[in-house]
Amino acid sequence: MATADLRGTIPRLHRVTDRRAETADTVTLTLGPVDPADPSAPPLAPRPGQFAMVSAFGCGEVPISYSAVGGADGSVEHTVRVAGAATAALVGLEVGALVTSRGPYGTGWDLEAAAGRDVVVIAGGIGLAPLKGLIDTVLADRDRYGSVNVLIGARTPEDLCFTPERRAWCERGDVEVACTVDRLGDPRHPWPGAVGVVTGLLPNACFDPAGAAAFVCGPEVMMRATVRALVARGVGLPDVQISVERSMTCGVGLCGHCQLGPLLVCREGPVLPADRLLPLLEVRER
Amino acid sequence: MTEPQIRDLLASHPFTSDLTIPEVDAIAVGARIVDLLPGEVLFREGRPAEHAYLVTHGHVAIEVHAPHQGSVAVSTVGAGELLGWSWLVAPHTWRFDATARSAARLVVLDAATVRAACDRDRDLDRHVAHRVIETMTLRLEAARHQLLDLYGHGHR
Repeated sequence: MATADLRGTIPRLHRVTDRRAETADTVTLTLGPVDPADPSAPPLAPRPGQFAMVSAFGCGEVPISYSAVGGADGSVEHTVRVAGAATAALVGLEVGALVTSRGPYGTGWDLEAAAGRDVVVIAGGIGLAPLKGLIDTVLADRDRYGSVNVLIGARTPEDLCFTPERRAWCERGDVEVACTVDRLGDPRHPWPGAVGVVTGLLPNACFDPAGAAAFVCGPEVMMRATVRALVARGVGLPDVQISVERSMTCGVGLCGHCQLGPLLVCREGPVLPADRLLPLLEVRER
Repeated sequence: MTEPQIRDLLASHPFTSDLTIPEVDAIAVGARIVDLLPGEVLFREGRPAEHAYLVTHGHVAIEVHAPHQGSVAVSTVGAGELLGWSWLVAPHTWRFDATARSAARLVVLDAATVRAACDRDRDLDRHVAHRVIETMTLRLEAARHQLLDLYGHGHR
């Protein structure tokens, strides 16, 4: 009799091995399995765009995307922003704290679709977190792709995450990185960059629209506007991948909390092609 | 920069790239190029809007001067974009400030020349109006999204 593969469905203990403040309300936690050699529950290798159900003890589980994957020791990174009690508990953890994590879940970004093509990554707010692993993967195998553009929008300059990483991407010289903010923040920290919505960065991004693969993550209104702008630029709707957020509870397609039309986002998403997802995002909730 | 070079810039700028050669010639009378250094002021709120500006390089910030805050950038305009439309709409006075955010190059058109050319040529008039409305639509949509504070709520 075959044994069901329960890896990923059972919460495993992880320890916070590093904690880096990104902004006033956002941190990146590095999690390592407490017992990486446990033969009964070998870690599954997550892919960029997938998520895990993470919990600080006693504070509930929340779906958090991986912002970095593939540590040699099985470690992963999650970038968490305070949005409620469970995420506030995670953000408040210190190095050495224990959490549970189960996963990876979901589809992840289809990077095979981008091989040999120009890559356009568009992130809004904390939506950069699920895209960071994709950017890392693309840049680790840079020759496999055409031009790479990373366009980032944030609320204010102080809300921009991944400052060291963005700096490193800029210094490479083989990736174009552009940031914009909706409004200026603390006047003591002058912002020399663009002000406006992230779609405003598209006209000056150099890529071949007909041969581009685009990856978009952010608030839904931003994603709808971004997909429209990409299509207006000439990018094919099926060539745009979107990561959508819904209330995910079980993570394995059993509870139905994350249902979006005919989809269970936790299982069939969160990453889907825009031609499939966009019509569903345009349906108004009642 | 010579007149032919200005015409080349106009031929490649999205605002004017669809125009015929005679149409470009009509609006290019008296046109010039201006290069700005970061922080250099292009125009101020309340001043006469006597020129149309097409950005060909760099970024220019649209700013509002507010008490106790100084000049606050509300938007930036980049290469390939039209900077402002007060030159087209009476009473032809700027409603905002404009300051170079980076080193920037702009084609400067004489507004009275463009308006007069549009009065003489219905096709040109329609083209200019269409492009300005397109710009206004994009800026209005962007401003509405900025007002929504999209990134201010819990997400992931």
